[in-house]
Amino acid sequence: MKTSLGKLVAFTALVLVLVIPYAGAAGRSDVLVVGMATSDIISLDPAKAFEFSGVGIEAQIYDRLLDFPEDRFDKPEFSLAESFNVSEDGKTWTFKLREDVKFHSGNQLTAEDVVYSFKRVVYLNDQPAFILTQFGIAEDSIRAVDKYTVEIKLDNKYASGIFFSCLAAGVASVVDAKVAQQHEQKTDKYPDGDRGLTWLSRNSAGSGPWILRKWEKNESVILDANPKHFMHPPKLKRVIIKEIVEATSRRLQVEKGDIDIAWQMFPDQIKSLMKNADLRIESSPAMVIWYLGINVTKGPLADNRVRTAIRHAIDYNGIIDSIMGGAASPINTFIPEGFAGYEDKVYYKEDLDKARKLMADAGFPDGFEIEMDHGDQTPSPELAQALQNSLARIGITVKLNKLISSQLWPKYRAQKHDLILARWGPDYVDPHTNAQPFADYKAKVLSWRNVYYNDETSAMIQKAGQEMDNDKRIAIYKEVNQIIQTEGPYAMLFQPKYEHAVRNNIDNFTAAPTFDLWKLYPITKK
Amino acid sequence: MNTETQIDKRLARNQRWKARQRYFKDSYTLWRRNHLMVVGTTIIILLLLIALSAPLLATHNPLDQILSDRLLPPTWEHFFGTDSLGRDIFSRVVHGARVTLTIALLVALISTPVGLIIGVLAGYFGGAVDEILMRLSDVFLAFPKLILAIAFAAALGPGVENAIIAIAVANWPSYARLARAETLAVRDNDYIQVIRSMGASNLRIMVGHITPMCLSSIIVRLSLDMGTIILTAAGLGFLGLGAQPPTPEWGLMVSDGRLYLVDQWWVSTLPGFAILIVVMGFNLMGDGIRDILDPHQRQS
Amino acid sequence: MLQYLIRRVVTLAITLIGIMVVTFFISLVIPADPLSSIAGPQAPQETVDRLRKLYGFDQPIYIQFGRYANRLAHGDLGTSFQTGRPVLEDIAKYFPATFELATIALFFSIIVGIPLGVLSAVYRNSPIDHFSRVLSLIGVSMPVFWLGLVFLLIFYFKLGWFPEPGRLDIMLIEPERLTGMLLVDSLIALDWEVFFDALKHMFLPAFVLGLYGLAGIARIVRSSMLDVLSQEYIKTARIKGAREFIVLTRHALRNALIPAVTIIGLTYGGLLEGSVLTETIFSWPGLGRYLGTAFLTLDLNAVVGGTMLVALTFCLVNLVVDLLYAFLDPKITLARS
Repeated sequence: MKTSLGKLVAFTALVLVLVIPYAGAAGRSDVLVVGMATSDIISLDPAKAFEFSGVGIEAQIYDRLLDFPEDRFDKPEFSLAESFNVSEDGKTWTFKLREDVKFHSGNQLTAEDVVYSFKRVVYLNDQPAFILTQFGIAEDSIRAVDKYTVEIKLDNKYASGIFFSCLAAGVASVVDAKVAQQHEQKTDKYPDGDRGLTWLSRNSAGSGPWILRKWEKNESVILDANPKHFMHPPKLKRVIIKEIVEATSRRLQVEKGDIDIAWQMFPDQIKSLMKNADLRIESSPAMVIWYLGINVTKGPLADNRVRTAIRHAIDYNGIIDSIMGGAASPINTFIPEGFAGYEDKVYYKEDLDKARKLMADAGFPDGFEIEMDHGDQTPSPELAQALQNSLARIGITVKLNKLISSQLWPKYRAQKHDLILARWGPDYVDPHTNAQPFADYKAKVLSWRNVYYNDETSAMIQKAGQEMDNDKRIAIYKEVNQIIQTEGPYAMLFQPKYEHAVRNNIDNFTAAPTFDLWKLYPITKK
Repeated sequence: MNTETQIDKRLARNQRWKARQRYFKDSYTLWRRNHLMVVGTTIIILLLLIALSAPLLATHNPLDQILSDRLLPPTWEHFFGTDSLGRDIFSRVVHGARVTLTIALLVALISTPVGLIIGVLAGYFGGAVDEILMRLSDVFLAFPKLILAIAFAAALGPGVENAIIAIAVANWPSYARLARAETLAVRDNDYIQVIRSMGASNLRIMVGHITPMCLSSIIVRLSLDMGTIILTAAGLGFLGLGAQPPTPEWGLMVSDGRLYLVDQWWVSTLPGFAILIVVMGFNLMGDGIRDILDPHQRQS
Repeated sequence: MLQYLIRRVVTLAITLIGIMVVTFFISLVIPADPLSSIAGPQAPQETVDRLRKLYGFDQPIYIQFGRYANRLAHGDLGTSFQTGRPVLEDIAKYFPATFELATIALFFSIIVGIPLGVLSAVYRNSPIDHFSRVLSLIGVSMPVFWLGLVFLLIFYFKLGWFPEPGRLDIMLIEPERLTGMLLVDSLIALDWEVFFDALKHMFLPAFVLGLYGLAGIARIVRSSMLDVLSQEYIKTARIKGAREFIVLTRHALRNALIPAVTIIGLTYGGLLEGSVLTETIFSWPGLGRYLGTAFLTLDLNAVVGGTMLVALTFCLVNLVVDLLYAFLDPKITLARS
């Protein structure tokens, strides 16, 4: 009896599995499903998140004093703040807050929350903290003047454009102080209390258009709508951001309709996706620059003629057309399109005769051997191989080292590379976030890593950082760029486009140049 | 007296020779009778030939990129089509045979002697030596092989050489165990005692008399392992921890091609087939070798 | 028996300590800097230095090892960099998914592998034998990652017979978490929708993973069946006029299965590790994928914890198999050297 019942159950189960055809679950009309490679998320706490996806998701959950609208990224607009004042010396900033903002918890958002959130960032001092502390913001430099007024003291005069962009960055998000304090715990790293860091990694205490429901690594992030948001109540009830690392898998699933948006498709996939009438391609120039970093202390690379020869030897169009499938544009500036200060002036085109002549002038008519480090993710290996081919034409034999990121970046930081294929994305939305690393070696980032110690450009960048007049500031960047392009330690390769496959029943989707500038709230679904 | 011994010796030599001949003849018959093994051996011989004559067989330079010719389907110009950098896949598969064979052979050359030495030492001396060496091999056995290989590849940096070391490190314990078991079986045999009483040193006994007794079972085991070794190497390549571009390694080629699987099936599928066929060849051959060397089978 | 068990457990403990030491030293010789993967490519050097201090990587090696051993001794596997959660919690979350997948895969290997092996033995050297041997050989020769990709393309994308990669339809709500195994949890909650959806999602990855075990099982069943079939008692049974089917199942198979137990145990261990590649292809949120990314991002606590767990499972399975073996076959004494 017992066994026959078991058999019956097993048989029924088998029949059901085989007979019921696979059908997508119903009730999807209020839910947006996005397929994205979100494996980089390590925390959704604004004071800690610094990865593309982590910041992107955190930006949907929290509000900031200032924020960018969904379709323009030149300067931020008021969000939690409704007005501001600056002192004569340009060091003290006062922000007046809106009085109608409530956190997801129901608590009123007040100046105390802003003060708590900023102090928290300074105290925790994790990766993104420098975005605030670079202005000299310390725990004692911010205070609540009254319930809805915040005063921030800086250590110097800074260009308002830079400061405002940083206030619109994810790290400047306002956290519900009461909730965070409830989840305070002592950890090894923070024996005096973690300000809710552990808890906020996986939970949310924000006021933004979306509420974090769940984050499971390797699975998904689920966001529920906050219909009471003061400015942007979402049109949909829920967004599921499904972690799909493989681009092929994202593509299959968007074509099948299992996901509504396939975030970031590769150029070769785009070509065939265009043939699918059920979906469209939305694109935006990414605020990313791919470049070849040249260590100016490594042998022949010290000679700017050699560096210029390299810049002339690269088959820019071939790389853009073939490897990037046309989804990129050539760039000869460290300021990407989308930022103020971008110029489309062309300094370098493929010119082998000129390159060979420069090599001969520099004393290397027969070329030399050199190593190039690059990452292991598409399209890095392909690009590196194409560059290897390009340089071989002027006699430079390149040995490629494909490294995983945990080996690549330490080597770069230690200035141990010869050539490195890398990319740079902005930390906040202002050209300064690119100008400084590329041209000011004292910031100890790109210019320093390539051992290009130019005091002139360094001083110019520091001057720009304090220039209150925006036009004058941009003019300085352009001037610096000219120096960097002609004698700097880089060959700028291209600025890629983000291309996403979006199913046709999704409306009001605006592609953005970075994930954190992408707004989920306007999206509707038919 | 003198001539008698000479005759005896000659007779003995003759008989030994005949026995050996019979052994090889039997082996050949067994081989012939085992159709699957014939297939396996043929595949491996073909692989060897292809690897040896790769530059002759290849229609293109496996490293030449022609960006304007990327992702072309198989034609008479490109038998297996071209990949994402416009390289000829057929030529890459042909050259990949060399990489695959090198990996398999080097792993075998590293891991079997190490396993043999450790196993024989442990079995011969017993006691504390045995205990320490066997616990060590337990540690490496308990590590999942692919994970151990990933760990070593991560530690040494990705690359063919390091993949080889990683796989060898993961593989030696099974040979050590086998060698130890065989050593235990012969160690206390009378003839070993006789040799010892004649004053042979431990080293001499181990090298000259015990090791040869372990060889046949280790060869059987090794031939059965060959396929797994190749698959592990390909798996490492697939995860980006094995051979590095532009090396035409098959696992790496499958991995590079997965972006194009839907529209350009050949980029990933054909190198995958190559792996399948070669691994099958080794497995068929391994099965056969076991049947031939296994005395149980010989009688029937 | 008890003595044997104690000896085995002691050996197991020694092995685990060895694994701990080896893993720690592997993590030491890795030339890459785990901090850079924590800090990201753009962080300036100061940030990296500060984090190094924060995570205690500036201490001398023996102090780091002491801390590490001390933590492990207290059952604290530390916190994972990538999830910000204690590694033990991560493992509790991801291991059941792998366990469930490997178990279903093994189940598949057994129900297909044993009949194949029996058929091969009974019809030795016939086309059936050749067919089943080739079939099982294909299973063991197939690169898992490649087969997975091809199957997804055909059975999910082109034919639509099976759902997308992943464990469950994204719109379905997981039942209350009791065991972490979806099939079990949904059965307990009597949530049939989740149960069948999970079963469908399980099919392709379990099949791909199971092919690997199938070959080994079929092989060993074939050869031990051949052994048994030549025994006297089988001949006796035949002479007595027992039906061939009864002879095969009652008398032969029962004895032939004993050596298969060992292989099944080993296969199980193999399946747990084979899941690294399968889980990557099928977006399976299991331990294999967790470990894979942990290695790539040098999330050392996760690497150590995960490896220890897999190794421990492997050792335990071996122990169980050995005991079972002794139990099934009284001829074998446990006091082997």
